[in-house]
Amino acid sequence: MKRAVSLRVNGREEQLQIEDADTLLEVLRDRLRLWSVREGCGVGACGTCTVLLDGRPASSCLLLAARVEGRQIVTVEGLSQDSTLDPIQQAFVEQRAPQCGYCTPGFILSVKALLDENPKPTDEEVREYLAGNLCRCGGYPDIMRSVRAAHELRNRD
Amino acid sequence: MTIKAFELLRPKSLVEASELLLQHGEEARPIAGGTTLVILMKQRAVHFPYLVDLQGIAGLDHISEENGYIRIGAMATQRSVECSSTIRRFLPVLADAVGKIGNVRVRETASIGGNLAHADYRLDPPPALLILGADLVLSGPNGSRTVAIKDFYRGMYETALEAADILAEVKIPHMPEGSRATYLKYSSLSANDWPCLGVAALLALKGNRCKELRLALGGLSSTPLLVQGLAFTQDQPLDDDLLEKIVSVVDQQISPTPDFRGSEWYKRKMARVFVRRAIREVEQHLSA
Amino acid sequence: MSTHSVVGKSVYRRDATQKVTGQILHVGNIEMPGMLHVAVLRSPYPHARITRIEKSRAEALEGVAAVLTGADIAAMPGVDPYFGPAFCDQPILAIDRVLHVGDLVVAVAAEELRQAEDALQLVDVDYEPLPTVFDVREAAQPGAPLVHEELRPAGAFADLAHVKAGQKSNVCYHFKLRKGNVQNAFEEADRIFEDTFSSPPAQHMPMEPHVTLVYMDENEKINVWTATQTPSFVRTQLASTFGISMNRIRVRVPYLGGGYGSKLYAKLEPLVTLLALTTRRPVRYSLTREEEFQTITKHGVVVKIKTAVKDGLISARHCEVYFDTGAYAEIGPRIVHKSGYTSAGPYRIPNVWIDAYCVYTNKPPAGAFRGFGVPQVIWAYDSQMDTIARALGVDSVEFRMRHALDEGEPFATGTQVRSFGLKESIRQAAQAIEWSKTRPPKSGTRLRGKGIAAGVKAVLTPSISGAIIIMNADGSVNVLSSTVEMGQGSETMMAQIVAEELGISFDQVRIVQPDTDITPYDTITAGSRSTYHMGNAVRMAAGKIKTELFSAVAAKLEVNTEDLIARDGRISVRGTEEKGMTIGQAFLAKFGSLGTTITGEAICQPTAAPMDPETGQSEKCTEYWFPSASAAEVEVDTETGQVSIVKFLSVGDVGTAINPKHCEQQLLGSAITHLSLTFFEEMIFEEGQLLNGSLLDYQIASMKDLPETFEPIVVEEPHESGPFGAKGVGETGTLTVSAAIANAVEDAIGVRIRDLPITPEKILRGLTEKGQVAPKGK
Repeated sequence: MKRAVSLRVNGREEQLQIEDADTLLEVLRDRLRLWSVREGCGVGACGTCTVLLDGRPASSCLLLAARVEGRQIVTVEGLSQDSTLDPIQQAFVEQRAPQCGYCTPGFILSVKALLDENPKPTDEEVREYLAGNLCRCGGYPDIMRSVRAAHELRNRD
Repeated sequence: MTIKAFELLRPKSLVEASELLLQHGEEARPIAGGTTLVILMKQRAVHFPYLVDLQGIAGLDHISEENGYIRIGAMATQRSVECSSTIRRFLPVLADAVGKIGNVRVRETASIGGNLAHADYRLDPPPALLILGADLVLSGPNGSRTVAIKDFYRGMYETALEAADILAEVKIPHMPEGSRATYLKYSSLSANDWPCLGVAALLALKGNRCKELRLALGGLSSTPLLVQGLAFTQDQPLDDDLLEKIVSVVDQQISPTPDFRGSEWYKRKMARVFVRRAIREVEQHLSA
Repeated sequence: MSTHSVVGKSVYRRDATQKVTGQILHVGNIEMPGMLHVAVLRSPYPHARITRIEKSRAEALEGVAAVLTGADIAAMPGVDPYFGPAFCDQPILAIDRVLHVGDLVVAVAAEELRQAEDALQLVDVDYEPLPTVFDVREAAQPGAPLVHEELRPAGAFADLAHVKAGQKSNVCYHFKLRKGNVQNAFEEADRIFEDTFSSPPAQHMPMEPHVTLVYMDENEKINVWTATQTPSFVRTQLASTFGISMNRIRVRVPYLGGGYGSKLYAKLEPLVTLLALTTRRPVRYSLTREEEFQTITKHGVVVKIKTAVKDGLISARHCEVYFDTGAYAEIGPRIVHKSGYTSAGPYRIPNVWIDAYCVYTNKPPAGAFRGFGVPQVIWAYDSQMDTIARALGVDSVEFRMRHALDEGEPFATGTQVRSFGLKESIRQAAQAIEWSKTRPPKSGTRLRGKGIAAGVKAVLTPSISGAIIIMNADGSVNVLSSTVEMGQGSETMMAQIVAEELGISFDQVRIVQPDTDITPYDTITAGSRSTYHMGNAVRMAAGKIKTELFSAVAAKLEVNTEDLIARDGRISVRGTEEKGMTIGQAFLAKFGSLGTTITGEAICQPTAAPMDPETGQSEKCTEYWFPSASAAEVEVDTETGQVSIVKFLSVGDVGTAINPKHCEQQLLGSAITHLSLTFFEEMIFEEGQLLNGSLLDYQIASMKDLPETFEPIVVEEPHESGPFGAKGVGETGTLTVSAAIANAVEDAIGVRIRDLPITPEKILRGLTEKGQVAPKGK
């Protein structure tokens, strides 16, 4: 069924006519052109479609868009306002975490949720939290270092 | 992968939700967190013209402690159960078990009730809830009733939920005085994977003797198993002989179904290993 | 110490900011007005005849623009319904038979993807099941059910020219290597070792699935945006499929979200082009992850390896290698050829006999996978090296060193090896894992062991890379290259080489992404070849520009060109650097005006001497070799069979590291993928049905699966004709992982695993069979 919804995405109110059957991933990409949100597996296992929902990470491929009205939705496009990178993004660049970069936005949002909740995680906690984000280039060692660097950058700022 | 069009119905109460389910019969299903249902609908393995959204029903996501019970609303997210100070304080084993489901994103979205009602044989919370003696409150068109979790699972993806029933709450008594519990999830492939098996153990000691032991296993056959006939352990010293007797009892009660994560032979072996490890781990906690 | 200004430095990749902001261009971000979306109905049977397709209800559905079947395509004049790189055996849509579960049967293009998928549910297909064959060795036997009624070689590759059409067999290619007298050596041997090793079909799993967008422009040109590693090949394929000239097809490739071999050759492009031609609308097809599993796989391989030992040395080796290429040959025959000839190992063995077979089965097609079949053969030979050393009571590192080829010695093909840092790689791996340190006595239920493996891959030869460089009057350059940036850092590599050669800064170099209207031919972005081939091409093209600049400057300053150097954006006289001019001034000197350009073009085209089809012998079978070694320390839980990796070293000879950090990332990244393949990745089939065809069930390594200590070691044996001595590194880290782990496991618990993946259950079974299960837990 078609329905008018109002979604709060990256701080903006978006009025949209959607289908009840539309996933949030479909709406973010096909309607709002937020290309950082990507389908990798369709089953919530890979993390390339990660968004923040009220600050918490979620797989947008598993969410029906009609059910997230009223929640704050953030994608990586919402992190770097005015071309200033978020400290986490900066850390990913400095530690050279992206290879093909397809998984990168999902990782960055997961790291943001993690550090917001647990500002000084142990390596074990980082691994546990990020285990649901997959990187086939095998950039995990660089990503691990990025998390530590991001934590330092955030504390400095 | 898209979902075939359907209509989302948004009841405001459990009664209204049950009425909608009754009205639409096989054409409707309730949707809680939706993490499993959305996948099945995208794969077009199932289709329901109506989904009854439980999200708008007030008071279904509480986590509280009252009158000797810990009560968890079925719509509480798995992550909120995992991180809840109430659960961590009174039922740490449940927080641990729920924290081992899938990944953090799934746990932020999926509900505890959806997990239990889905009745996949590999789920992590059921063994923990079995040793805790949880009750499930089911709400139907004619009011609510309570079913013990050991009577809830009927088969693979089959539960005591009748048409138009909705799982509303999980009610868990306090753990027995002086007892501790653990849940061990064993993934034989990647660390991220579904369990090859999961073992939950609850133990209370009197000195070095066993006062109470409860064991439950998941991932082995179509329903999670609460091990029966452990009364013989009472007042026995928890030595290797007793452990051997316990694992023999477990071995007789399980009938593992092979899957990618282990053959019947391997799952039997692992049941023995992880039952021992779980008991020894709780024992160490108790003596620490 | 290097005197280079940019080469050899770990400069940052320029695309990093676009990647962390998510703004990098992928095919999936490109939309065209009126674009249609595609869904495909796939076969539920592993082998069946299509007896009826009823599609009228689907055609009538709102939003549906086209519903195509293989029969429709076969009836189209001027369209070749079959395509494929090595064999022309793959129909765009199944014509009369389906050959594997997931074979494409009916394609729908509709306004919205939901409509296309709704329409598929309205198509009825009747099938008549046919006899099937799934086991690669059974399929190779005479009398096995035939997957293809006859062989259809494509004739595209010189090294497959001798493959004859029309044969009735599932063996679509047979590689032979014959050296010395194997039979005699086995008769005279002191000991003979015979083992069978297997590795299962698996998934490449780039996080970005295949995606292709095609539209016709106002000039009737076919425009293709596609996630491919082979833009040039895709254009050639489409020209041949549709019988049109190559300049009417434009293939463009933006950044790829990973490839690892899965995006080589034509995949979705023929179908999407056909739909665009049929509907006269832009059409985009994005595969779901489930469809990825049905589209391309890593070859499952069985290796029978038999080795003779005489006086403590290997005297002969006999290899029988079966590659399961699935229902379509894809690039299987070339994989069998290129990995087949290395399957006796980089060792001094006087008598070698190799038969390698590429075999059709009723499974999804298998193609190139990071390593091009070589990891599967190294799994066999370097596992067996350990077994033999153990049986002879010789230290296994010493045993490898005793046999490892030295510089200039002939490989099994007769080709002399050059720039061959094999021994150095083994040495460094052994040192890093503290191989010679005395092992502590074993006790308890957690046993540790160490393992080393070595191996080599040779680059695909011949192949061609062309590049054009345009220098602008401000000294900045545009590099036109068809090398695809898929995460490996090729843009950075090219920019470093060009900047070095022209003496300009890294930031003054911009890479133009593959666009067949603009960028010259390149064989392929794969096989660890781009740094060498494209690196040489851009270096030579830059060199031509430099020559022109030097002539202009030499004339102006009245000096010899040989005395000039290019550095820091200036061209000056060596020794008296103040005498010189900027590039802009050189342009003025040459043209008398600004706004001009200088263009340099070059082709890197190493040649090979064709192998004798009966003996596999060749004066030069490859342009260069990249040796690899891995060292692992593992801990095995003897109660569960679970292995944890205490330490892992990924060692590779890269020639010269153009960008050391990127070389390290390649060595570690490919090792992680192969640790994942070693321990748990496997496509599990039952009667041709895939049982774990989604990321819910098929596992790949996550952050939780990493070794505790995990380091790369870059070995540098410069290659005489590599750009600044560089070779390639994209696959090196994949090669020796599995054997190193299996060798470490045997060292720990005395159990030899011969079938990948090395699961805890296999280890526990091994321990049980050995009758040495450790004492029960306390």
